[in-house]
Amino acid sequence: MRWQLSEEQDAYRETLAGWLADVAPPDVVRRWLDAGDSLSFADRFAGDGWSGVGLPESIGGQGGGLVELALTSELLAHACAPSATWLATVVTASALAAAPAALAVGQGVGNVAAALTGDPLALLSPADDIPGEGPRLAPGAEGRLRGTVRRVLAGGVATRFIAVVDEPDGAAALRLVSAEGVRVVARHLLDRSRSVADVVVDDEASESLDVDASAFLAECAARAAVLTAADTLGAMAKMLDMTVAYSKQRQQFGVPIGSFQAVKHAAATILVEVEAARSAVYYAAASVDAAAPQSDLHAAAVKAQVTAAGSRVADSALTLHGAIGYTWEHDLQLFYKRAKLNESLYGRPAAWNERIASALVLA
Amino acid sequence: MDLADAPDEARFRQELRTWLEKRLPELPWPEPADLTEKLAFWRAWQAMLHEAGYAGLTWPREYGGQGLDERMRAIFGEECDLAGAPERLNTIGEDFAGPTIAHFGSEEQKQRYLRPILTGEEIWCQLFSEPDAGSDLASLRTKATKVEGGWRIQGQKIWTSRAQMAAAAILLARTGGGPRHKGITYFLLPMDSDGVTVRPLQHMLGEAEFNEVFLDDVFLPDEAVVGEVDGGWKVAMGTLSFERVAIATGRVNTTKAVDDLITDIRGMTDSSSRPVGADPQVRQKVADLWARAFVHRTISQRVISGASGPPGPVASIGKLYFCPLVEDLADFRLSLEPLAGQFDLDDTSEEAERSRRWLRLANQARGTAIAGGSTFIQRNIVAERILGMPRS
Ligand SMILES: Cc1cc2nc3c(=O)[nH]c(=O)nc-3n(C[C@H](O)[C@H](O)[C@H](O)COP(=O)(O)OP(=O)(O)OC[C@H]3O[C@@H](n4cnc5c(N)ncnc54)[C@H](O)[C@@H]3O)c2cc1C
Repeated sequence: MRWQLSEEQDAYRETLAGWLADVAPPDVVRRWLDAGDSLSFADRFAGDGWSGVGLPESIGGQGGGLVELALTSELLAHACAPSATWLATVVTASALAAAPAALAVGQGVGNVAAALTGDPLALLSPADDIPGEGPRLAPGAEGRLRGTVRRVLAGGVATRFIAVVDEPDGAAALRLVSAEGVRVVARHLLDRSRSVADVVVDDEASESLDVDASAFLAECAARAAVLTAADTLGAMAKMLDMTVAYSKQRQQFGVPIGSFQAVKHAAATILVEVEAARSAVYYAAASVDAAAPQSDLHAAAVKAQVTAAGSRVADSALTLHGAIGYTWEHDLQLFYKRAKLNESLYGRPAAWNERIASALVLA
Repeated sequence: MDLADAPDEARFRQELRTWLEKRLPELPWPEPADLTEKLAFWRAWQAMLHEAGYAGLTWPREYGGQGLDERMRAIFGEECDLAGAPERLNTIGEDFAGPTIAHFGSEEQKQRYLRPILTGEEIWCQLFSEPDAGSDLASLRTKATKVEGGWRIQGQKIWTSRAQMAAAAILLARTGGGPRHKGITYFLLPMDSDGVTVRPLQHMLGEAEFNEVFLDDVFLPDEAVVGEVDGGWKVAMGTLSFERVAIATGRVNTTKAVDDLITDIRGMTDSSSRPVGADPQVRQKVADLWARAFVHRTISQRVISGASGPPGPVASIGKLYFCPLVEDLADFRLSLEPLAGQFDLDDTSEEAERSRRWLRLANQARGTAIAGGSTFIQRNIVAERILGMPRS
């Protein structure tokens, strides 16, 4: 076993970080977020060829896997780039590619490929539920769907949705719905770098997606867990950078506040959270990709542990900034809100812990 | 990120597993609780390891080691835990005195001291702390005075783990007139030297785990110095970083401990005969501990994978992540016992016997958090050396 990024992964990380520094510096990101504009970034991201990274070549991606997606997620959060569209799309696309039936059936593959050419795809499921645990739609005659799904991640920007419907026998099935006929009601999140919308499907036509639904949803869950944890890793690392820099520059009692031991210990505690998260997130990403034993539990563990840590780190970083960190004007609030949302996104730590407990067959 | 065993790792693991299956049952089980009897038991085991080529895995071949890398040592630790091998008694010798001698020692010191650590003949202890020099180790006052052919040592050490059975010690003493860490020299001391007196100290549970050691005009030859005279601080920092890596990567196998906890819970029912594992609070807590043990495992693997270079930030944070995890783990297991396991070591009830191991672990975790640089000192180090925050 070797815990180490490959040379290509290191190089990818560096190139993407450089690109983000150019394209999404803090003032530009501020402008996008204030205007509620997620498309400018999404277009540029896709236009410059980043959206295929981490998806297999067989479906039109550029290769790589969940480790590459985790690195992307981490860096997008570090820049606080608007990334709901990217996240919703790669969770579903990479899960489709991983669910075995998808490769055997042309339709799944084709849809993923289309997603890569710029069509955002989203799972029609509440953003606060573990994928697969949300409510299902009831299928009507001839595959027509009806129902409302609230708080769908990227629900306002996706052009197609994968809906989870109840089969007559109680099993889950997947159906593809175009966004054209549905009504979306945008919701407003504290974290403006991600978006959710209520999606109202009123007697819409849908096509069946011939993919093993439970395998697909399990893949979605594991990938969503790892990528949300990776996002928190990036947000925490950024808050640590900001806090340490501020503590060296801000003077009180005639000395930098970073020389006070209470401040140092709080910062050291954040570093422990960041490096523990880094150790576990990359590992879990590789584990899910390799379908290693207990990989679903590794994903659950990082979702529960890292996103909870991110929430603590956000509060500690705020404390260490004093009043300036409490303002709208200071950028800390962007990362604070991003980390807080991640704790609830795709299921809270308690829900993921319950999964772990069940798998360990406690009772 | 390569999760599977490499071919050489898989081969090593398989051979070791087979060997453990065959040889472990040959020991005169059960492992005694009394330290003196435990020592004999452990020696038999260490001799078996040495004979089979499993001692000193990462040490150079010319001094009796196996010349393998840290990966194999990690696998060795995992497999020993899985198979239920005896407790390690010579961690100071194997994990920090030995590597320090191998790294900083003279050829003669390596020839003299390394092999008996591997055979189990010589246990080591660490004579660093003093009554007035704890966290502030550089304020130590034990004095070494230059005499013909060597040094005369005068002073007192404290909290010396295993001194009562140690054959040799790593010792810090003040030699120079220089300020604080500039005038310290690192010595190797045979514990049977004239003028060495060991007096046991009991820890909170009443066991004599550590000692006071009095050094009264003890003679040490010039050859006992490791590194430069007055240059011992650098060597001591080397020892402490070996110690940190050892604590970060494997003092307690948290994965194994959580697995044992889960096995216990599966068999437990509450006073109304309901399975304890059905209690939502228990489920949350166990999942949290399982997940933290997973995170700890990935930190260890990261430390091991980067172990060819100097111990990086992860080794420093390892101890800070690890200590509270072991405390929580042991405390939670105890909380499932009547009176939360608050029974003294001499209570002979079945319920006290059952939880004794966890009581010891809970206590030991507190000690580990203090030893080798307390939690606060570790945070100072992380903040100042890694984050570059200004000194107070
Ligand atoms: C189980 C056990 C085994 C040990 N084995 C050995 C051994 O084999 N050999 C050996 O040499 N030593 C050994 N020690 C000693 C150990 O290294 C010291 O206890 C440790 O360095 C702390 O020193 P102290 O106990 O004097 O506490 P002190 O240094 O007096 O510290 C008391 C409290 O003050 C805090 N403090 C002190 N300085 C600072 C600071 N600058 N900033 C913030 N907080 C501070 C500490 O964190 C602690 O909370 C052992 C200790 C234990 C508990």
